[in-house]
Parts: sequence; structure tokens; C-alpha cells
Amino acid sequence: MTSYKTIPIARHLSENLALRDSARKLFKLVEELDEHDVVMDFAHTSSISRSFAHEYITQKKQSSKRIKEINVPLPVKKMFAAVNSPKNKPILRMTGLRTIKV
Amino acid sequence: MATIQYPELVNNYLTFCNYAEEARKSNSLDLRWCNFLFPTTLLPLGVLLQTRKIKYLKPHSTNVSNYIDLITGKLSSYDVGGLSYVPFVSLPANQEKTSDVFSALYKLHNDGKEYGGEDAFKYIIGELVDNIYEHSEFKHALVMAQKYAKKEFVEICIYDDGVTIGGGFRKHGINVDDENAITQAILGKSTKSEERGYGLSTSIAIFTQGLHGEILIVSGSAGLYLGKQRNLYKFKEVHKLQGTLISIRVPYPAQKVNIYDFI
Repeated sequence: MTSYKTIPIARHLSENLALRDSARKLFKLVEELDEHDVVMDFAHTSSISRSFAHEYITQKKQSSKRIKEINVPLPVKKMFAAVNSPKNKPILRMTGLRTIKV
Repeated sequence: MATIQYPELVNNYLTFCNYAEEARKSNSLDLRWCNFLFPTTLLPLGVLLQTRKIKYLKPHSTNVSNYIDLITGKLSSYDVGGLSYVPFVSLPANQEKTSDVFSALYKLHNDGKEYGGEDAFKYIIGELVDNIYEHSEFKHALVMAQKYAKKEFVEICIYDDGVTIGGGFRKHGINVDDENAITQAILGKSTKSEERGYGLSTSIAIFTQGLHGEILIVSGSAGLYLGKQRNLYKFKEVHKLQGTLISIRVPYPAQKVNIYDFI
């Protein structure tokens, strides 16, 4: 039987996942585990920044472990999807700017 | 000669500059007649008063006086009736301690449900705070959101006294002046990789295009205002900021915005 480790993300980090550094530290911990299979339990998380999601995906790709996610709330799921299929960066109109010396 | 009408956010930043100049000259500040401070003035002023140990005459207004005493650490939230009174949070140097800061801020503002929705509020706070930790090398950083129900807007403001946007680019060998650094940053240029640089640009898109708000970014000797006017400011030495200030105003109550249209 394969042994696996479950990490409750909300309890381990926060219900609001915002900082890249938290994702880096999470995967540092994952790499130190004995188990090869790791389950990231997103139950009770309520928000995620694009930066956290991007760092999570980047770290997951580089990880030596087999990782799967469970109980992923809809906002978190949507953010992972947005990062996995990035649009072009928003086109903010920068033409017609008036330069003023103050 | 035509006079320039500055947007209120810019005026509020210049009010801070006037206070800072007075404090620099005399190492003291007369705030007795100051009866209102928007976050754009209050946050950098609070850090200035605290770090330079500037003596000040307290505002007659108890509210303003309490805010200044709180931001400079002379009062605790306990002294003024609990956390619900305190509209700003200070970012801890240790990122592992930010969880409580986020929770307090979100709870205080009902998860931003009236500020464009929970997703939008948490997104902008998360992205801007992460930017500070990733790039700014700050000593002091403050986040404040304040609802002005009668004036029908919310002001979200974040200030750090770190290396500035231009300073961050230059540290990575990208030789740009402060004006170009701000415009490059909001167009998504990152010092780290092409895959990064979405945080600021998407936040601005959500709040200016999605919520029809206005934004002022001041960093070092440059400022960018996007709203009814679209101005790039080149500040003289006296108006230069130590660090980066981002102020956003959105109509209140703001309808929910779908952030996934912008990210």
C-alpha cells in the first residue's frame, strides 16, 4: 500500500493564500517529507492571490513528489486555471499621458 | 496663466509633502488645525513621524489625534476601544506572521464585500502586499482601507518605505528612471521573469476598468495618476517619496466585479 501525507493548507498556512514565500516554504516542507505522495487539502481556504497560485504551480512542477489537490474551493480553482492559461497582461492605456512637473 | 487642478488623491499626497517639508526644516510639526486626513496623507506621515521621531502638536480633533497616535505607536488599539477602531495594519518583517494581519484587515472590512466583492478586495491586498515583500526591502509598511459612506467612496492605500519601484529595477541592472519604472511596472515588467509582473497590472485593470475607480502610484521622484485625468508626475526633490505609495479610490458601495475577466 502506498503511504501518503496529507497537508491541510488552511491550518498549515492560512485561509487566505497570498504570499509567494508561503508557497515556497510549503514546498520546502514537502520535499523534506518521507512520503512520495502528498495530498494538498485546500478545505477552509477562502482566497488565493495570483502570485501564490503561480508560485504553487511553479514549485509543483519542480517538485520530486507526486502531488494532488483535494477540496479545492471554486475561487482557488479559478485562480489556478487563470494561471495555467494566462492571458496577455492587461493592456493599460498608456498613451495620452500628460507629464506634469510638480 | 492657467492653474493646474490636481486630482484629490494627488493633492492629498502633496499635503503629506508639505507636512514632511515642515518637519524636515524644524523637526517638529503643528498638526493642531488638521481636522481630516485621508489614508494617502496619513500613512506616509505616520511613518515619517515615527521614524524621524518628530515632535508634533496634536490635532484638536480627537479622531485625527487618535489615528496619529495609533500609527506612531503612542496608543494601542486597546486604548481606543478595540481593533474595530483601527483601520490600518502594519506589515510584520517576518512574512510568516502576515496571516493574522490579513485576517484582521479582511474582518474589519467585511471581506471587502462592498468594495467590489471579496475576490477583488482580497486580490488587490494580496498582490500588493506580496509585491512589497518580494521587491521593496521595507523597514515600515502599512495598509489601510477606509470607507467614506457619505462621500461615496472607499480609499485603499498601501505604503512602504523601501527601495522604490525604480530602485528595484536598478538593483537588477535595469537602468530606468523613476517615471519609466512606474510605467514599465504597470505594463507588467518584472525584475524576476516574463511569467511574472501580473499583480500590479491586473490590480489596476480591476480597479480602474472593472470598478471605474482611480489610482495614484508614487514611487521615488515619479507619480502616475489614472482616473478622469491620466497624468505622469515628475516630482521635485521636495516632493520625492522615500518608498512607494499606492492609493486607490473606488465608488462605494461598489458592485461585485468578476476579477477573472482581468487576470
